[in-house]
Amino acid sequence: MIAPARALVRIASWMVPADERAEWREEWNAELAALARRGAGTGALLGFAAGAGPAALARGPGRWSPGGTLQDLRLGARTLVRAPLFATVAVGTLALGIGANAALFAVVNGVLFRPVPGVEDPESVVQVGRTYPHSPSFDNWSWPVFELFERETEGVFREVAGYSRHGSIVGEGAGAAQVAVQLVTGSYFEVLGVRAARGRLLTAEDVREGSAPVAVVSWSAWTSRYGSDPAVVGRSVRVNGEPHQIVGVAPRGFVGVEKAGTPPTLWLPVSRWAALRGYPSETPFEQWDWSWLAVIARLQPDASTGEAQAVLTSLARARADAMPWYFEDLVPVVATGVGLDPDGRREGRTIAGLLAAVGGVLLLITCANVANLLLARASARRTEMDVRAALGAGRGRLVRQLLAESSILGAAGVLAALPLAWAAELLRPVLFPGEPGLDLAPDGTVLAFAAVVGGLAVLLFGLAPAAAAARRHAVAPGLRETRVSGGGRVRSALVVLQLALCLGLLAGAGSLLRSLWNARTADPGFDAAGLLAVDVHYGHLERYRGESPRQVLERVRAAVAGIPGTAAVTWSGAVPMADFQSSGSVRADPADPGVTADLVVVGPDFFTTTGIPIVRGREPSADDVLADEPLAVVSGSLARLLWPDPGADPLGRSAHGPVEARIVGVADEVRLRGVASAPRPTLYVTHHGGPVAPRQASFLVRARGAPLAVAPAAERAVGSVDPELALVRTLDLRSALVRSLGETRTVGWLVVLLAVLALTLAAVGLFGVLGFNVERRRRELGVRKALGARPREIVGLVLRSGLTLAGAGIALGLVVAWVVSSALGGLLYGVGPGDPAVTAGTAALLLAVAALAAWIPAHRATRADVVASLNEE
Amino acid sequence: MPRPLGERTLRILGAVRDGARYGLDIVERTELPSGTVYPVLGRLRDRGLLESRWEEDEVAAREGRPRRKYHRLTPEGLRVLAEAAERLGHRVPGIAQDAAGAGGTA
Repeated sequence: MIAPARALVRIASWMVPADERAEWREEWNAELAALARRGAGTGALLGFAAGAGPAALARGPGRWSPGGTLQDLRLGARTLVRAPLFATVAVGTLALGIGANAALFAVVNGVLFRPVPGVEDPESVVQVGRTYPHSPSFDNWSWPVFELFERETEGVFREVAGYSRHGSIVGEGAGAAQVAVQLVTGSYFEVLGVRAARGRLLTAEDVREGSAPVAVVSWSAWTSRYGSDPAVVGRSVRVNGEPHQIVGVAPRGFVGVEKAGTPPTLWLPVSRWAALRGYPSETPFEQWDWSWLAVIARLQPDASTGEAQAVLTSLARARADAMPWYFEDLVPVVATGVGLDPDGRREGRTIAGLLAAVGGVLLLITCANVANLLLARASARRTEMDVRAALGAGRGRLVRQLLAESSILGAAGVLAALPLAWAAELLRPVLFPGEPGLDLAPDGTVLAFAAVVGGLAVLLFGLAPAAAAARRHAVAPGLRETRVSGGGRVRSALVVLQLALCLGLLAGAGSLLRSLWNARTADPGFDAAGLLAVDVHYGHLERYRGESPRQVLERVRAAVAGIPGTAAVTWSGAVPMADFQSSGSVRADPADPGVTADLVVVGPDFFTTTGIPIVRGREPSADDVLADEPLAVVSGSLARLLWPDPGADPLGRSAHGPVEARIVGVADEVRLRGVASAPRPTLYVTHHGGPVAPRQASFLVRARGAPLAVAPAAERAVGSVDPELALVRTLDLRSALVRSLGETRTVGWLVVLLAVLALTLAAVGLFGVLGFNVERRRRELGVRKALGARPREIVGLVLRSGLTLAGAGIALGLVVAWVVSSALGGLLYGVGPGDPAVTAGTAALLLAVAALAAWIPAHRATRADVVASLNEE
Repeated sequence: MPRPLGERTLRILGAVRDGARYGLDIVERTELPSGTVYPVLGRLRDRGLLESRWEEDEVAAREGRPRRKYHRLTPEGLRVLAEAAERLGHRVPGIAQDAAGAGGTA
């Protein structure tokens, strides 16, 4: 079949000059016909026709050939070497733009794309969560449901496993530390396909009832805590006071399946749950309503996530009648891959989008700068180009030579940009302070991305000058142009574009900074300034197992209250805004449907210490806390939800939450979850209900002076009650406030850095254009000076042209700024798009920088040699 | 002074001299891809070392096939090839004069 080959020839023939095309095609078709007559098949004919492409190119525009390209590159390299200043500035600018993009991509790569290390074939591992139509989330499962999965999902899951994160105290006495520990089912390591680096990993045997307490230690813990001791297997480690035997070391880099949060130091079998919590009597293994297990699974080779979801949905439907509160409306979610849960991925994608936009803007500014540099150089090389054209180099040849030069610049820019790609990893402690497990180091993907960006940059900055050269030499090669008007306009337009983009970035950075400032000075509803939090943990200590937690905590509170410099002390189950805030259902009557409210366990003087106003009734006292009856304070909003009747008085009534508590006071609204969150109905109780009492509390100290100044005395006071109480954290609440805006902070830092970069590039660009303009107008300026113009007037001329460009840039930039601020949306706090303060501030900054950039060319203009410029012709 | 001819160009010249007249024959004889041969043929024509002609229409019509282009060396081409053969003939296949082959005239 000759037709495909003929089609190929026809397509290729379009590259041949029109006057030769018909004959060229005829020759090829005739040879194809001869080959066909000899009996050649379609493949052989196509193979022959494949040569038509290169042949046509050789005949076509500019007579391209591979050898020619090499020649162009060699020539380009020589030309660039002869202009070292230009080459350095161009490559340096490109390195900044490409490098910044590579660093941004390294962040996105580390957060979203890079697979969790140590997991075999991560594509077939899935996370399983549940959500409900009325409250979208990605929730854990209870143990009996997990057993259900183990039994009834063989069709879609080869194996299921579960894990749960806990903070635990490892070690004893002065060497004790709070670390992250994961409780895992026997199948966990098998599902992930992880192999032990030393010893062995946990198996189903270890989870059996009555099996010996064992633990697997992480690689980084093995190197840092055990000094890479080769005999670590067999050693004993105390976890919450219970001895466990180390049976193996996890492989290097393996941190479990979650990228976010503190990487675990130890993996323990789930059967150790009771010992870990220090409360042997009550365990979650029989309870359907206790959801604590995160579930992962490995898909069967021929199963899809859709099928898995269908199987789980039918499992839920079958039980909806028996346990409607759990299974009715349950929507199982099966998500491919591990590392981030679906919520985390959504967040990550938002940030990725923002970073991509910022990176794109920066690249545009960079390319505009380099294009400007090339255009300036092109006008300087006009003579050289004209000579070449006169000597017979066709338009195509000239364009190819310019593109070759641009490619060399691009390649050099990519190489120089590579060190910048490491910036993300270096800045990780600043950008992601709470995530030591995140790996932002550049890998192959990042390097490939840098190369692609480099290629894109070459297209962006190389085409304009090449096209300009082509246009010029198409008209009449050899004719010298007397005016360079076209080039100057393009360059000015590019600078205006740069300045506009710059203003956009600056406005974004300004808005984010303002948000952070607002957060610092925001009122969360309680007085965070002057508050210190000291976390104390004692659950691992045998001697406190039988004692009521409140008695221990009261002793410590009294000790801390005794130190000078403290105005009030209380304790609480969680630190406002720094910790995960627990919530649950609260009812006025056990038969009522519940209202979701935040739950806080509090000690005496909680409201005095934190400064949350009590609007009715009183706060619980020390006697109240030590007594048996649970008491509560409700927030105004919770009271209104539970007793909507306007005249109802909550005092004296009972709130049914984790415990039934008598209400003694009503408090004002607060933002316990962070300044960017809305106030929620809150229940403050004196007694902890629920399955297991935690053996940890945060002591909140209202200091008379700076909070951290009383920290050492407070810690000593705790130690005076019992030296083995573990102090796990000391925190100044004001900084917790700021950190609650974590995401804003990360993006804010990035945008500020990039905005500064953009500003520098734009300033350099403006400087270049103005300098070029001054050169161009040298004759005119020389004449003016001869006619008696004062230096001030000359400077004024140049400054005016500079500020005009800046003004145009700002006008356009206002639009860009508005778009940027709108896009930042949810990350802003107290700042809207088009915020006047931010806009005015950034515009002023841009004008100032523009004036600065214009100063030197303006000054140089006054020095223009009158005689020399008049002689120039 | 024009660049010296490369090895592949010389092999192509040699093939034409030794009787390969059509593009297809040259491709087969030199075992080079068509994408290499045809551009070289074009360059050789430009430099005056090769000339190309269309076949007579009657010849092709009689055989019921489209007319083909055939190539032959110019005297200049023969000379250049002979020089190269003297210098390199024993080292590069296809350049040295074929003992059985005659000059490449149609």
